[in-house]
Amino acid sequence: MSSETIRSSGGLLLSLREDNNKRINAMVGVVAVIVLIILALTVPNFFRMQNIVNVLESVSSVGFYSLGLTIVLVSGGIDLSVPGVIMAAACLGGSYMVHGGNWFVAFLMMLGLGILFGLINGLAVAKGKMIPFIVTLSTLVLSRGIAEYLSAAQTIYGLPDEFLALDTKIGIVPIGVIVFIAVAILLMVLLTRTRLGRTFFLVGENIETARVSGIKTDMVLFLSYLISGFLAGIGAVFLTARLGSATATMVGDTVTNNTIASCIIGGASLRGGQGNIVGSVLGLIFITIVDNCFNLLGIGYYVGMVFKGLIVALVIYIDVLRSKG
Amino acid sequence: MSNITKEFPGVKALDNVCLYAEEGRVLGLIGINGAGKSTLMNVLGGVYKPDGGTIELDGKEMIFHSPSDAYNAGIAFIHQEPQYFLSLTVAENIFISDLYMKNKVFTDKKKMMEEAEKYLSIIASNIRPDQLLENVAIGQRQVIEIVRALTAGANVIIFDEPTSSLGRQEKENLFKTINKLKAEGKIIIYISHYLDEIMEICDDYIVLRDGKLVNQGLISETDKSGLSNMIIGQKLEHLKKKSIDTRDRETVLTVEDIHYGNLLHGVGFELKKGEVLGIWGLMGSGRTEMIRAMLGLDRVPGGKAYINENGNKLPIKKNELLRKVGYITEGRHFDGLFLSKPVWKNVTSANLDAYTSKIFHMLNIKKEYEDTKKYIDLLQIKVPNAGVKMATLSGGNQQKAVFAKWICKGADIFILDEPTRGVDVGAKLGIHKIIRELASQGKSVILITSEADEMVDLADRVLILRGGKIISEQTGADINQKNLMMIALQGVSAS
Ligand SMILES: Nc1ncnc2c1ncn2[C@@H]1O[C@H](COP(=O)(O)OP(=O)(O)OP(=O)(O)O)[C@@H](O)[C@H]1O
Ligand SMILES: [Mg+2]
Repeated sequence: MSSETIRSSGGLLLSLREDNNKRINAMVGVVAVIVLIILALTVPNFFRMQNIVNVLESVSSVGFYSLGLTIVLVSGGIDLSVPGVIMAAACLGGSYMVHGGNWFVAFLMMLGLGILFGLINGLAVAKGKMIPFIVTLSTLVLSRGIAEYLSAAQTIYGLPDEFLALDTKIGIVPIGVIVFIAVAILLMVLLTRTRLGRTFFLVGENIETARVSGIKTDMVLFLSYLISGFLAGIGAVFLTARLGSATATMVGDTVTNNTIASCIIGGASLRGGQGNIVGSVLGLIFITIVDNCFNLLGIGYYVGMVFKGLIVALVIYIDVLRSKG
Repeated sequence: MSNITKEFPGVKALDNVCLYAEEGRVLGLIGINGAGKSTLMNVLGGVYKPDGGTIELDGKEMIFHSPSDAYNAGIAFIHQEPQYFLSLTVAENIFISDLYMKNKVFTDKKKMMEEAEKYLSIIASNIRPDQLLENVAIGQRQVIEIVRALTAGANVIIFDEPTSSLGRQEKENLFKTINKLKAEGKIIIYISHYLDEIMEICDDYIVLRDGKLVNQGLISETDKSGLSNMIIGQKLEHLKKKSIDTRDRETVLTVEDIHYGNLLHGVGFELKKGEVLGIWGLMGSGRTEMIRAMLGLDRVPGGKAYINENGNKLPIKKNELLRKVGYITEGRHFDGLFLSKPVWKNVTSANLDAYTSKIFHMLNIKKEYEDTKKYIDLLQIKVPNAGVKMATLSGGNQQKAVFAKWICKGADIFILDEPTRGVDVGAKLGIHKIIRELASQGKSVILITSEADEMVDLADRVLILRGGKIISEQTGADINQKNLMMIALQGVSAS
């Protein structure tokens, strides 16, 4: 921490930070557009229809994570458990179905497991006053373990057609994308127009003030994780339907990084109280397109990973700049 | 400083201000909330770059790009709203920008503690250098800023409302220190809304209003009412003391047996309908802690509370009580405001239910905004519009916003902990009138204040805290400065 930070007063710092944030956010937007234009001009096949659909699909399946994470970040927390929860839910539903289970019951089980993990995270953070990072890191490991156990480290395939029908396209748009858009709009309204949404922001910015203001802070924190868990369940359903199988490795290692990065690009902050759904979705589309271009350019998986790691580091640095003012 | 101009979006905070301060003198900088006092000092302290004008120090023109430039030029700044590291010790907070080093890697802890101790004992000997900052009462944290400035050995020292959080003894110590610094030939600039202090400590004064310098002169050639006329531009009316005997009234809240660490040993009281109940005691006597324990805000077991409903005394859970009362806390930045949210979201934050629809729990944002405008007018909060970020408001205007938040909520019981901290003389009178009005509407008010004047003017009944217990209750004419001081200090009344 520099001596400047110390000597300038808290309120001042914040106000400077806010002015500065607008500038930084605008800059992030401009840079993102420039990067996209460069990619569009240089990468072959960038505008192929199939390519766009690919981007949309991958946005929507793990995209539910970025929607949930936005809510959690706004209320001042973080949820690292989602990738594990998605896989555990997928393997639970998948193995139930391949053993002859009804697809709709499996569907409900997947949502249920998501909600259960949301519940655990929420209780641990809100009531147990544990640190969100540690709590959700633990439930990540836990849920991964469940996925491994249920799938016996094998790929679960041969899912019933009724379930796979969830991947049907209406025109060229898969159902998953439509659901994603609907959920995104709902959450946007929730965050900006409803009482609960407002309290997410207030609790995330200053939990002491929120408590004194009579806001049920424990409940608000709890609900943010519950929503995130529920969305993990939905994500599991559509990802499983799209892939047609479930494994304990179906969500890649880089998803967490990408998702956190996309929310921060979109205006959320690791310090809470900031963020919006539209920003997070745009951030996600951006990250996914960059990802997709790595593939189109034939950059290898590991080299791609190095690049993405760098991007994330850059994004976190943007967040630090925002806080410094 | 000559012709300093500084503009923020929508406000001209400083308009061609010239300030001249002499060595070995104390310059009082006064003016209403939002006049531009803190902004001017932030320019001098290198926090803001002025849009126009120059700064000269010892005849040399200075350009500060950052607070550390100003610091290196010998300017120390005690901020109105300082920022601290809660998990570091007091000593570490004091020396945060130049830690004593043993060698290149390790800090010299012993030396740091010794130095901190030396300076702390000058101002407030009850703060220990090895204490974690989070264990220092919110009210006392500004002492750290003061000590930091003293240890830096600066030539120019700016105090921005330093005493708003000091007790009587600390204040005297501070004044002694200022006089010593003055004798050493330092330049001192002193901002305060307490005109008694300005009269006592300053040699010269300048008055700002709306970013312009409207008056200046020698303190010896004016008096308190002269100053207050210059500040608000008109004569200040005085609120007549009018305390009512409320002892026989209906009880609305009963609190029993509050314990708080080794600070409070079983305190309790009854709050009557339509009264202003003062809680008086020295800084650190546990006034704030009593309230926090009563509302369940700290993890302490303390006490039971009962609320009176239709003549029945019913026990009430602490978190329910918290939701029932309007509570102005003592630290507006800690638990009073959402600084990076707009004014209107702050004002309605305690009263969201009133703006929430039955179905879907949608907020009526338009109404929130319109209502906020009403409170801005009522309390004369100086803002370009209700949509600006809370952090851009001046200190006193932020305090008014905290008040607005609780008036907006409305409640039968108000708890006001230093409700007028940092508020100018005119606005303070306005808030006093509102507090009186609340009581006459039948609402009950618990008032905590360090200002004897405020207590005397407002309270119907005063409980005095000393040594962890309520040792005395005063009413009517016994609520006077002399008596309050005597009992708080010595435990016996003056008469
Ligand atoms: N960072 C900022 N952004 C926008 N406006 C600001 C900012 N800082 C201050 N202002 C505005 O400038 C004006 C002067 O504020 P300043 O803090 O200097 O007042 P002040 O005289 O110190 O008042 P107080 O007695 O309440 O502390 C106010 O109208 C305030 O709203
Ligand atoms: Mg100020």
